[in-house]
Amino acid sequence: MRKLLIAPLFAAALSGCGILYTDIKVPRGYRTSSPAEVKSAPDDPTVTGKACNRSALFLVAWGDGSYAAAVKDALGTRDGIMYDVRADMKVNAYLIGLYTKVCTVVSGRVAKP
Amino acid sequence: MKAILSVILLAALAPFAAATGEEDGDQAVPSLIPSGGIMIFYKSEGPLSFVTMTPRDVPEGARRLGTVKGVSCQHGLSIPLAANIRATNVTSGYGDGSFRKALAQMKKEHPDLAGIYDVRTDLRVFSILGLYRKLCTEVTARAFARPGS
Repeated sequence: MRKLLIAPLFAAALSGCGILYTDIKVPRGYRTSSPAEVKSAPDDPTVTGKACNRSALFLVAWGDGSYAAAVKDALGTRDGIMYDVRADMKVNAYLIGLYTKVCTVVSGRVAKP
Repeated sequence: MKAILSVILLAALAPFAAATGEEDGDQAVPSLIPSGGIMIFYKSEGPLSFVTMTPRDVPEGARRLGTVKGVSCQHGLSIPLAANIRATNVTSGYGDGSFRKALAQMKKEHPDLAGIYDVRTDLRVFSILGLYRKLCTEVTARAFARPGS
């Protein structure tokens, strides 16, 4: 019986999904631009944005870890287009995954649209 | 023990598999709603690959429409045949979560849309008790209209 319970708990913890309720957004694809593909300038600012999904007690998972949210966070109020983009995933898990945070982090430079 | 290790391995790979749906290489992974157990009905469409435009591909003089968003969804049902964690499920999958439908939705909202660039594709995963699941393809991009339109 213990085995039967441990397996789904591990599965839920590692997949970032909750057994009872899940509403998360995960990144799938982002065709980013190179400096030659935008109106880049040497003084273009470098920005970083983060978007996260969270799960607790293996039961519920929520959040918006999408590329769209990460880019929106990076751009802030700027009306620009990101280029030379690095996208990374950051995972924080505590107490055998009772609380897990999975973040999509994008950093790059911002050119005029 | 082997079964537990298999489940852990599969679960560990799941989020990374989702994140590698579209990559720089020449391999594409479809994002279809999963269906296990005894599958009685499956008619679903999901995203595979989409070679999108960059700002350089936007025609000269095109009118910029700003940021647009299109969403398309697949749905799944999974009904256990017994009140047991190991019970076999009867499952089904249906819906259209394709890029085509997401883009059609954008076009409906912006009839003069001629193309999109700076495209971000994300998946929304929604599940209640594992009985009902929804997998949505969300396309966020900048759009342009043809010159003079």
